[in-house]
Amino acid sequence: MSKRKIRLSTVAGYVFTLLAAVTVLIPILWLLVSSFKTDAGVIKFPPEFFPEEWTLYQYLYVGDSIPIFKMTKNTVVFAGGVTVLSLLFDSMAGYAFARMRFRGSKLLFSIILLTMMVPFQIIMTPLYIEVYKFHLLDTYLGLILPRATSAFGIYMMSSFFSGLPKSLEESGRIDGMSEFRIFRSIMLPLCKPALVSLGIFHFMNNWNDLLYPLMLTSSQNKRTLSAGLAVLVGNKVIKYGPTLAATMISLAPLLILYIFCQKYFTEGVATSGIKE
Amino acid sequence: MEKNKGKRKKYVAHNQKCAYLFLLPSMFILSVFVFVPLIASFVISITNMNIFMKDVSFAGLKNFIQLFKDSRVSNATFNSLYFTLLEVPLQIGLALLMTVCLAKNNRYCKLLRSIYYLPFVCSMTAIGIVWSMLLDPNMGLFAYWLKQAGFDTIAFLKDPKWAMPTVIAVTAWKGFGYTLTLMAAAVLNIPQSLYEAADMDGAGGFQKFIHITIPGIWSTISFCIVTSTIGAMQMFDQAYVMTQGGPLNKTETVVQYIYDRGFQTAPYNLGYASAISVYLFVIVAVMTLVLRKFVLNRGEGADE
Amino acid sequence: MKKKIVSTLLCAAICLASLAGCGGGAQGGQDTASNAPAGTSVETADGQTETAADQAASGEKITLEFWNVFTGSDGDILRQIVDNYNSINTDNIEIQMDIMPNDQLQQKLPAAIATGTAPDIVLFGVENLAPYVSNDSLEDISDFWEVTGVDKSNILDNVLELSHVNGKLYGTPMQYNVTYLYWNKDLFRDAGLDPEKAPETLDELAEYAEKLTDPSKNQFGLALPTNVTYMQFLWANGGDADDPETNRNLLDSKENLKTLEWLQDLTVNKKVSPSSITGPEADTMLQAGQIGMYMSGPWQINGLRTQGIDFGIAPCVAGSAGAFSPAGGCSYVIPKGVDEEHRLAAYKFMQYWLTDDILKEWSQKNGFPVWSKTLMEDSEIQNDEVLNSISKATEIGRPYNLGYSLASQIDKDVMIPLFETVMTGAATPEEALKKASQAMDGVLAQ
Repeated sequence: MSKRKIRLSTVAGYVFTLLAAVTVLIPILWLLVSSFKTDAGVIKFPPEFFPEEWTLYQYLYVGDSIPIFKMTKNTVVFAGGVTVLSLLFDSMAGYAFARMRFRGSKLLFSIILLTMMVPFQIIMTPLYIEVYKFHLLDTYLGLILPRATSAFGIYMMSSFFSGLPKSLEESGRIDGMSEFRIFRSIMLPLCKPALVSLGIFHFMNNWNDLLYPLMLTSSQNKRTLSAGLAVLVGNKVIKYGPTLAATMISLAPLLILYIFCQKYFTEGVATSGIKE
Repeated sequence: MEKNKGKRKKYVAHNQKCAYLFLLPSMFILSVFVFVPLIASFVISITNMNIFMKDVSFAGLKNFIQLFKDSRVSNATFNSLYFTLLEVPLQIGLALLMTVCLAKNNRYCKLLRSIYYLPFVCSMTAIGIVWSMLLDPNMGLFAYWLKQAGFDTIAFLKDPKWAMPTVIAVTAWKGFGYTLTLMAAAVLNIPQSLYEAADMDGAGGFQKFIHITIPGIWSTISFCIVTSTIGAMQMFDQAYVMTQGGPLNKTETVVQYIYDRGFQTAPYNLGYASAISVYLFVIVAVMTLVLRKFVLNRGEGADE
Repeated sequence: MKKKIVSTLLCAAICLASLAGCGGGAQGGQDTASNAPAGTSVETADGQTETAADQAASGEKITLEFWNVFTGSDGDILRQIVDNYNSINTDNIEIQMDIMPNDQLQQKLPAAIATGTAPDIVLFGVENLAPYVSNDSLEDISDFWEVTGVDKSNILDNVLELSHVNGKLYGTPMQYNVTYLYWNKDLFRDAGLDPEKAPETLDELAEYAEKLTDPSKNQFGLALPTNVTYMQFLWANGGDADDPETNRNLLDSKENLKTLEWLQDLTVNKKVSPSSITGPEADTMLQAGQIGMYMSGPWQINGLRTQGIDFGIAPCVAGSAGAFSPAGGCSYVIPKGVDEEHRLAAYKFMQYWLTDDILKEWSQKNGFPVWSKTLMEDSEIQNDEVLNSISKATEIGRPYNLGYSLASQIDKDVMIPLFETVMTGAATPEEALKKASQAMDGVLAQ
């Protein structure tokens, strides 16, 4: 009796998950193939999924309009720098909140949470002036530093750390390790999956960010890819063809990276299962 | 628990210093680049100031009085709440449901989890452009397919009634894969022995889900609820790209109205925009406090 | 293994941080001139100080930072012109162009002006002049004609007027535009209408629009985006929105009510326009040949040409009071605080733009109307079919809230919501007008 029931629900699960996968894939596939359409093909009526005529024209147009490679380099430095720094700082702070007791911990944690509640648009102008006063406008450091830690990351790391068994650092303490060694040698390796997932999160967010890098850079040569590509989305006239190609260009490195990381990521989850 | 408390007290003094050291970099960056601008905008909210930052004068509570009379503020508040109250449960519910099906480490589950994660990789701008093109009632592929299939189509983003639900659906579509990944990771970390013990007790699949899985990943769930609620209350990008707040201001959120007052519409009233953001800040802070109290208490209760 | 990961991470963090610092510093050194903000003494990212005048004296390049909002295809042509200027000018001026979407420019420019990091030239819509001037954020360039020797009497008065606020010159004209009526000749033929004759009155417009609408083909007679204003309709029947001179609210009038009733009939009952469409979406449908008629600026011409649509351009239709078309344009302006050296260099580029060769190139490539009197005599211009058809449409241009600092707020808070409410049928024209009139009172009271 129960076997039958399980089978039915398993089938339902497969149907449901596959349907969802199709829903997820179709728009992204459409974006991919549509970036090879001609201008006329993109706005054709009645619309068609595949292009009638495949063309690289839109990509060439984007390549002519903006310095893609320079912008890609800027984006890698910006998103990469932010990711590395904030992984370090976020996990340190998260660890302190989750595994250490100190005066004001609850208050501090609440204050950090509060910083998530500020819409970025509103602190933008004061931030611009601040970065200017530090003479960091239009520099990589000025782009990276304000983003080098985030309340989200701290919160995420702390909730991950608090899920780990409490006996772990006790054994380290008994061995006489320093707090930093415990953090480095015992705790950090355990949170590889969380670090990878937070790293991807930070990298993608900063890679895709538009307003922030646009505000803090003042020349095209310092601009990041997505901020640079925004220029192609017309003001009075939207050119859909180049817009789609530009979207694919900014997406492609992330997709490649994601496919690469995803493997690492699921493996990380599998091996870090607590063996107790 | 009680035993641990006694033991841990010994470490408190030593820990204290270490803890502050661990916190130092983050606190420094957050204070300089978030708190200072935040305090600046609090101060700006009680002044008459536009983005040109000339002729600043003290306004007292004028901006706050004005915002409570402004019908677009109440409209935007309603829209933000509407979005949050539907989007967060939808995204987390969907992810939980998927977790039940996909929290295994076989090939199929891994592949599907990766697929679901895909939209999250894309920028909201890209997603917004793609969906608004596909759903365009006149030229869009999906709208066309639906029409061909004989459905009486709705205008999606163009219909005042359906615009917000469409924005919600697209947001959940983009985000559920990420939530799923977090939850699946948490589920896979639950010791297998717990399930084996439950099997011996003769527990069914649903009972195991309620009594083992949910408590086991509660800290992740509560993290997801709190962060997505905070994020949803600040919804901006989606509406900015897909609807610009329309039709008839039905998708205009609080942040969007802040942006409009401060940066899009002359006289670029930064004082007023800041006042609205203080108002939003208070709403979100209260919501988060309530949520944390409610969500965390339940979590701890489930832990015991 | 695990240790390795962590230490790699740590090292990477430290290296990156220091690298970023160095990188930033070095770059700052190289691009000193481009970083040069307003003011004679310039502090760059790495704290180096030098003056703009020194650079010029030593024969170094003067780099002008130039921000604009030309993100579409016209941006490509602008870029070509600027690149060409960089290579041919003899004054050792190099212009570094930075294009950004209008919203971002509006968020960034005031902060840049306040911190003295503003660019040397900005190109944006003339509707921005008044709010910037009332905040003392643009340089008064009334001496432009005298300094450069450009003959201002060669420029049409109504175009020149767009760059003035309170009688002072704050910009030099870059382009001028009014709203035209575009029509698709093929669709006219299919509907049995004369493809060479555009509607001339409001009634004809409505009649044609109905004939051109065919839901079975997803074809609409007249696209009416809901995110813009339709002053041409209000004016045609003798109505108006407000009087900027006296701060008076002119909305609540019989004329306006009549116009709005006509408009609601057209969109809600006759459904001649796709519902709740935005400007760019209407552009797309026009280019795809799904729209019979559409009112928009010159920037449609390029797209229609590339899509091979057989189209005509006519003036906006007339009502009982005549035919009018809202005028707008873009001007080059100099943000407050730009030093003398850069200002004079900027003048040089503005002067270059005002030469007939450049104006001709811009008009011919983009289909923008010509406003230089000598250029109007040019035989090539006179024989250009598109430019010919728009010159008539340009004559009825009428400024709308020009130089009025409340202009954009009136548009966004009063007029656009009014038209949207009426066209979507969310309220009767009477109710909508009453509500809009109250909103207008609120805005004007400031």
